[in-house]
Amino acid sequence: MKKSMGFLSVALLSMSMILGACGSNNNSDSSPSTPSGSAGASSAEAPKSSESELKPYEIRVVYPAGAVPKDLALVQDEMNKYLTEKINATVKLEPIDWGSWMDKTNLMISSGEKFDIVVSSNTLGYSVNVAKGAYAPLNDLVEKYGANIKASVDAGFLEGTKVNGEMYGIPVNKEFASSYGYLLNKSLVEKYNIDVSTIKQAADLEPYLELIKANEPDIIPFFVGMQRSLGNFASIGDIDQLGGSVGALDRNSNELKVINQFETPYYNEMATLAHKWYKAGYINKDAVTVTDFGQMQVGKAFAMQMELKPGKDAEMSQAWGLDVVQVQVKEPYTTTGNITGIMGSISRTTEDPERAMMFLDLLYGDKYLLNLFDFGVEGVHFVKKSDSVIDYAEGVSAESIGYRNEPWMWGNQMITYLFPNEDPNKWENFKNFNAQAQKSIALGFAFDVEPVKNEVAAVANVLKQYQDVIDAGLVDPAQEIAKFNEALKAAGVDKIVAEKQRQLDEWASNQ
Amino acid sequence: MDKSQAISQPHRGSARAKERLYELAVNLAFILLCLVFLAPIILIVIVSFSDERSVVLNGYSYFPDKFSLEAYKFILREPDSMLKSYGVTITTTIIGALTGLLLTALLAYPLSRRDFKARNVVAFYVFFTMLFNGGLVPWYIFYAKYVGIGDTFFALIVPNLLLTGFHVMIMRTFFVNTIPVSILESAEIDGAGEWRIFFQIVLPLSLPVLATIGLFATLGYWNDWFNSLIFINKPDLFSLQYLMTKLLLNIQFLAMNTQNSNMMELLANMPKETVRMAMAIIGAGPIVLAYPFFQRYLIQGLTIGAVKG
Amino acid sequence: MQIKSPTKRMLPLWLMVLPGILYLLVNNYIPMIGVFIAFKKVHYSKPLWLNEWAGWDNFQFLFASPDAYIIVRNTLLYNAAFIILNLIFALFIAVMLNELKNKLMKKAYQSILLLPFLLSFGVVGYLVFAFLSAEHGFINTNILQPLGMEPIEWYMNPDYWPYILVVVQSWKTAGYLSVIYLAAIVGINSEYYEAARMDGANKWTQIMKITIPLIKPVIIIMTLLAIGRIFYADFGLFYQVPMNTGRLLPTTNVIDTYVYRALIQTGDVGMSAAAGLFQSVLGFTLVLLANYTVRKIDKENALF
Repeated sequence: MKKSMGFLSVALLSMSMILGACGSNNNSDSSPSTPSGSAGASSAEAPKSSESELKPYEIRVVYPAGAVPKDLALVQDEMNKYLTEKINATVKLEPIDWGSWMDKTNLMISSGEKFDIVVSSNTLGYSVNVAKGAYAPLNDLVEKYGANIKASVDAGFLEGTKVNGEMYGIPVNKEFASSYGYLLNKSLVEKYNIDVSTIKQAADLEPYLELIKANEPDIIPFFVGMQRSLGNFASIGDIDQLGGSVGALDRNSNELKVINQFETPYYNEMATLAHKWYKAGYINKDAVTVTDFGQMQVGKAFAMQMELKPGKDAEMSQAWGLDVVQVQVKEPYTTTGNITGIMGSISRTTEDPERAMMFLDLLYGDKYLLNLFDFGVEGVHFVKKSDSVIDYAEGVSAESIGYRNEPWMWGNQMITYLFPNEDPNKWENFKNFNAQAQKSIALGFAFDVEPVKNEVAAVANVLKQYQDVIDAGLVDPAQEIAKFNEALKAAGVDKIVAEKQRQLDEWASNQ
Repeated sequence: MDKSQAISQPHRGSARAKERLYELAVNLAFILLCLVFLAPIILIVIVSFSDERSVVLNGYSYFPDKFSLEAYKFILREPDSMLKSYGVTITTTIIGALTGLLLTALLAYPLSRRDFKARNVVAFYVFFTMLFNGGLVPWYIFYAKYVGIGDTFFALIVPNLLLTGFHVMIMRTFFVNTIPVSILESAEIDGAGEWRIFFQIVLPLSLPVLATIGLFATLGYWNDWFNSLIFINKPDLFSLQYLMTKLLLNIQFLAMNTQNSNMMELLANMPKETVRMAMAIIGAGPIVLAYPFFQRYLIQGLTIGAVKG
Repeated sequence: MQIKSPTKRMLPLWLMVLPGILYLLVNNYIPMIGVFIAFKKVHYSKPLWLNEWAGWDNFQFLFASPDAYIIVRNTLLYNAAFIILNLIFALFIAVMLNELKNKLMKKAYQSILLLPFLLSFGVVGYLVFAFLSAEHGFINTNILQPLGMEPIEWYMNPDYWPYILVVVQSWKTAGYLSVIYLAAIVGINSEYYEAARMDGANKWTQIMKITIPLIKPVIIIMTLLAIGRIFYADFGLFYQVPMNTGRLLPTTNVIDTYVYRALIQTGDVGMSAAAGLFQSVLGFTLVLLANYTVRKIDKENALF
């Protein structure tokens, strides 16, 4: 009985926004900075005359992590040694468990606690927090102290985080687009001599699924899980979600016209194809309840849909311990959601926003600092194999290493070291990927849910009830899509679409 | 008396047999019930000792293809944090449960006294807290900001767990219905003060309810992960349950956020099913050893010798 | 014999309740001030109490949805079922445990019945999945298939879940609740039973005429307390056990899960406070009614 109080409270305060896939867009010519102690070498020149004018300040850095690394204090000390010389500041690194991230940060924000740097993302409540005034405005700060940021992140992408003309988060410089496609089990591809270049669209995969189904009874031809299913093409991949909920832009249209993505013929087409595959037995029955990669990871599945980027197959192969190859089916597409996938923000409660920005800016240009923060202390956690490649230090392995961080969460990823098993041209590939991506005509638009928050709340429950099963093909779209849209209408979806259109038009007229 | 004894004599044999049969039947019913209750738990234990790959391939099974100690080895890789959290939890549980039990009894007893004029008002005051709360944010702000207990032992003991209306109301009911007013009155006549009455008469007569609430309070502290989640940042102070549960919470959160590519990838590296089950066992297991301590008072009847007459 | 003044006599009793009252004041009543958040338009640039008033705006999302009726119905029906079934089941266990003579077996059974209470709903969710999953679930592979029946897609059909959730909830809570009832039963004077046996009463009569009536106060109190929380649902049970499967929402969505899913998109602190207030007020009204009724029938056993 009492437990429900706790859960209720947790439930009530958790927030996250389930939006477009995270991608990244690289356009950096980052100026490498040598890790010397003198301020001159770093491109982060503070307009203030000299460091001696800066009072010592402790920057509280809050970010999500799986666990507090054993050697956190060690790395923090090294960073502080360096930072004290550079900007007379120290950092206090505070990793917070993923599972408690929303609760803890919301409480910190609600209670007005003083902290400085916080990781933000459109999936972690970025626009809600902006609307509630949780973050500090960054335009001026970037102008004055963000030299590295401006040099490494394309101006067009910085615009992408703006809400009402003001930036509230600095995107991490990495891949900024997503291209939809499939990951295929490499050994099966080789076994059946599958020519992946013949797969140009979803339907092309079908003959291969049939092949696998016929010849490999134990293998799931098409693994669907964690909201990666055929329906995604129509409900996420080929549209700009415009900030979530319902109401999207057709990628292929040049009009700024907001549509209900679940009413489009394309959605119907994809759902029907998915259902066909399900009836043919290609799809795993637990598609909507499975919470990890299960069968795919142990090699008992042939294909899985995935948003791709250069080197995704290498990454997933390593993560899964199973070799996969990627087949891109859709051209890369960049939406606001891709840009706001992971950012660094400054809390409104900071006492020295300039210093916080200086630190953030260093992460975009200072190679020594960023790699120290990402990988640990050289010699203790990693050793350099070449100027740009590192490996684990002597006696250290991925499991035993005392320090870990997520490089995709910070700064300018293009200046970070690579591991020996990664493509040496990884960053070049990212830059090209970002440059080539089709940019949404609504790039930079941020949707304010406040005027329609009641409808968004009601629609959220409808989406939960219908979307997954239809996307995955587990039900007959002929009836279900109609029911789905009926329920959406009853929940007020038209009002949301109209409001989005109104806001979009207003945003466009201000461009 | 004699007549009935005389009558029951020749039937005593069959009466005994009937009793034994009855006892057997009840025992059998319980064994069946316990098997049903235990079945899922046995499954958890078996899965925690299974080989991960076979679990993924075949699902949970009572007869896995392969057994493995990997899950436990993984968890015990860093015994430090687990030992510390065991220490933290045991300490907070003992201190919290004892203090809480005392506070609860002290609050409940006067409420059971008919001559305590304010008892209905106070009872309402207590009960109201079970229904209304100001929400997580004000509660957190009050404790973390104004009282300043973030990251302390205090935060694991005091907020929410020390005293709950539920326990107080139950205890009050027991006091009302098991302590005969005559005993209280005769003690008062003998000149005993309220405190003496409370400690020397009321409490000893109330062992079953004290054991019940004591058990509940103990379980409440042992199972708590919420206070750690909200108030504690230092891993040294994490409660055992939080340590074991946070993996599940992390996985659930990331599974909810699969739209974000990078977060989704993290899921691939999360410890798997067998580890999650092993954590459930490690978290829940030890407290079972505390049961017998409470059961002593729960199971036996009372000889209310002092009451008769 | 001294005749103390009434206040002096009551002083020790007041001292006894003081710590508890203070604790509740600090832990529950002071934070209750925060209930005003439900009526505020929250913006963090100002302290919470300085934010704009929002009137009833924050409450609208609870009624705006066509699902509003369904979620309230689900919450109430489930809780009513839990109250009734848990009572019967827990009483049954407590009474039967009391009938046993062997102390060791008693303790063993009770410990086992208490075990499910220790598991978190997350783990229980995985367990249920192990039994019901479409691919490898026990029920399908080890029971239905050998019997030649079609495998059932448990997670695709909302109709099964009221039963599943009630069973799971009972399994988890009955042992816990039975402890309370057993403690009450154990306090019954054995003389009553002896007298009944003399009169030739059989076990059933003894249970119905002695045991149950004598623990009536405890039964009433537990029921009243449960009624007070009838608008609150255990989030873990309704979210984690069905593995947050959208298809099952018609029968597994309750007020708490609805609010959670709604607020993921808007994350509004004011709205979540409004939802909590809504549940509190409704539950409170209901328990006032119930308590009033109990007072009319049996004054002694009312809550207050």
